[in-house]
Amino acid sequence: MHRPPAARMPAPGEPDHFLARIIHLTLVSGLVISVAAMAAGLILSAAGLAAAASLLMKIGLLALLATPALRVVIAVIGYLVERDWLFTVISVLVLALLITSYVAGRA
Amino acid sequence: MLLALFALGLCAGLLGSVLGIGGGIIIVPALSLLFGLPLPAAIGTSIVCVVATSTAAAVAYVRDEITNVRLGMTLETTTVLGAMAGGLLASVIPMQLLTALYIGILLFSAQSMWRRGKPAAASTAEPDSTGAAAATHMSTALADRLFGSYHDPQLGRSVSYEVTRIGAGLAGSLGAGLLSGLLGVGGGLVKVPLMSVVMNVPIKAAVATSSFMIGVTGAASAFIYYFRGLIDPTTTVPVVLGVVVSSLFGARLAPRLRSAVLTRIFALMTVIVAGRMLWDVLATWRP
Repeated sequence: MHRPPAARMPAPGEPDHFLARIIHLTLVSGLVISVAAMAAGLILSAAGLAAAASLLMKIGLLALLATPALRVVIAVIGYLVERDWLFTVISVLVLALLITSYVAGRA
Repeated sequence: MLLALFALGLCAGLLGSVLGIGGGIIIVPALSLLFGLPLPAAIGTSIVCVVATSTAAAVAYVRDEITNVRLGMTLETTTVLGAMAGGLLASVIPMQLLTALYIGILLFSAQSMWRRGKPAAASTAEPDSTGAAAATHMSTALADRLFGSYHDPQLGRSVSYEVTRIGAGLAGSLGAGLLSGLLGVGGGLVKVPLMSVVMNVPIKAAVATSSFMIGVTGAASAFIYYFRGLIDPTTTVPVVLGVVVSSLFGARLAPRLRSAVLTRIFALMTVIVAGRMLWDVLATWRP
C-alpha cells in the first residue's frame, strides 16, 4: 500500500497544495458548466427559442448555486484522503449545517 | 436592457471580488431603483450574484493559494450556524435597533481598517498569541494548522502569517452570520476586518478567504429564493455573466494593489455602506 505523495496531511507550516488544487478544479468545472449553459440560454432566447432558452438558463443557475456546496463535499473527501481528521470533522460540520439550513429553508 | 444588466454585473463583480464582499450593496438598489424590480426579486438576484462573485473570484484566489482554505472552512462553521439562527430570530428582534448596531459595527471596523492602512502601520503586524490560542486543546490543535502563506505579486515576495485569536474569530464569525441572517446583508463587510484586524491575517488573504466563504452562505439562501420562484432567469442571467467576467479580473487585480491602498478602499466602502444604511433608517424613522 502506498499513497500518492500529494495525499498526505501537510505538516504545520506547510501549504496544502493538494486541497487547493482539487477545490480549484471543482470551482472551475462548476463555473464553466454554468456559464456555458447561461450563455447558450441567452443566445437561444435572442433567437426566439424561449422554452429551450429558459431551461438552459435554469440549468446554468442551478449549477452555479450547487458549486459552493460541491466544493465543501470535495473538501471533505480531500481531507479524508489526506487523513486530516481535524479538518474532516470541520468540513463535515459545515456540510451538515448547510444541509440542515437547506432542508429547513424548503420546509 | 440586456447590456445594462450585464454592465451592472461588471461593476458589482469588480467591487465584490477586489474587496471580498458580495456586491449586493450595489445590485439591490440598482435593480429596484433603476430597473424597477420588486425588492424580493432584486434581493434574490443579488444573492445569486454573491455566489457568482465568490465562485469566480475563488477560481483565481484559490489557484494562486492566496485563500486560506483551512481558515475559511473553520470560520464557515460558526457563520452558517449564525445565519441559520438569524433566519429564525428575524421576527423576534427589533429591526431598527439591530440596524443601528450593525451601523455601529461598520463604523468601528472602518476606523480600525483606516488606521491599519497607514503605510507605517501596515508592516507592524506581529503575531499576538497571548491568551488567544491556549483556551482549549481543540483551539491549540487548530492554531497549529491555521497559519498561511502566499506569494504577493506587488511586493514580489512571499508573505507568511500566523492566525491569532481563533476563539474571538469564531465568535465574531458567528456574529457576522447572525447579522447577515437577520438583516439579509452580506457578511463580507464584517469578515474581512475580523480576519484582518482581530486575527492578524494580511488584507489580501482576508479578502481572498472572505470571497471563498461568502459563496457557501450565499448558496444556502439562494436555493431558498430559487425554489420560492423569486429568481427570474431573464434578469438574473445577464447580471451574473457580467459578475463572472469582472470577478475573474478583480481577483487578479487585487493582489497587485498595495495592501495599504486595498485596506483604505475597504474602509471607505464600509463608511459608504454605513452611511446608506443610516440614511435608510432616518428616512423611515417614526418616533
